[in-house]
Amino acid sequence: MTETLRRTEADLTTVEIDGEVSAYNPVTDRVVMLNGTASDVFALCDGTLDVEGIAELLAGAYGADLGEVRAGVGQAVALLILEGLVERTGVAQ
Amino acid sequence: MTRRIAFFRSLTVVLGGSPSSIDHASRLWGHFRIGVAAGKRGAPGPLTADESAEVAVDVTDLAAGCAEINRAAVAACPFPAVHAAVVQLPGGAVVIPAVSGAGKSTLAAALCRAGAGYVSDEAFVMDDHGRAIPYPKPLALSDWSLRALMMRPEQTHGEHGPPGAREFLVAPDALGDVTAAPTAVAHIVLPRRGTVGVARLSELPRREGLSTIVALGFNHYREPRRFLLSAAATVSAARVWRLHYDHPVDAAELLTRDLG
Repeated sequence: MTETLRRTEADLTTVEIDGEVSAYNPVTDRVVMLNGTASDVFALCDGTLDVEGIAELLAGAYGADLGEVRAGVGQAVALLILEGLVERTGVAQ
Repeated sequence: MTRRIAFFRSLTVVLGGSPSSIDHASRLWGHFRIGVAAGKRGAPGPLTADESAEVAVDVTDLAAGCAEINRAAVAACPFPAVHAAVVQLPGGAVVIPAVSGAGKSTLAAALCRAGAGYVSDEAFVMDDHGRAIPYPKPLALSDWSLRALMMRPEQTHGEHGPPGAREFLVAPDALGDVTAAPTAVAHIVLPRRGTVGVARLSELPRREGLSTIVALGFNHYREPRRFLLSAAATVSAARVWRLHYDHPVDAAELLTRDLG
């Protein structure tokens, strides 16, 4: 069993410019600027997917190697959790 | 003798000093309402600062007095504000964000002498639509800047300040037109000065503009959400450029030609 990922319940303010998300987290009082891939990962943290599920979706969308994408998604998720934008929850179906 | 200057409907500065120094200060800050109490008219937009704030500034030392007026005005500014020079070209405002001492004032002055309208050499003040609200403070130019711009001391309000840091104070209208209304931002130019020969522009991803504006905020900590939303509104509607240049006059020619 693996945990799904979702946005935290912090009252985030997000803006998107050219497919790249910047988010203000009032809990950490920080603005985090995500690149395009991290923005895609953030968008897929909807509470239904885990790292593997997000990686499979993005590898298909990018036409890229699943192993490489999985590593990138793992790094992005770690950053998003560190910044308080995403949290682990539930169990993937 | 005193005179009053109103800023952003949120601050009144009461000038004190000799009649001569007050006249100079009034002339230098002439694009703000003088002799009118705060809270009557001014820049549009919502206010969050205390509208009744009032400070007294002694302008006997004109340079020190102008610096103090600027600090008070920026501190009381109820809008998100960023360290930047801003000028207006026919296609819209050009924002040049940079830290203090990077040459913003000289570049703004060079652009105005090349035909741009003056908005500010100090602060990009954003309304909620990301437009530039004019903050046309007087410019303080070094002796080198004055020579680079081929300006004469007679075009200034004289040389002021302590030895080793003396500067010429220049009224905005001495450079040309002064922009009076909020203006949509067409370009964000990130300057990098060095020995580069011919000045040149290269386009950057918009995120470079957003990250620079966020990093150079004066008052982002007051209302961070509003700051980010205003900055994003600005950047979304603008193109972002890197400017490499050596001489400010060359840079001004390039910007007015390619971004005008």
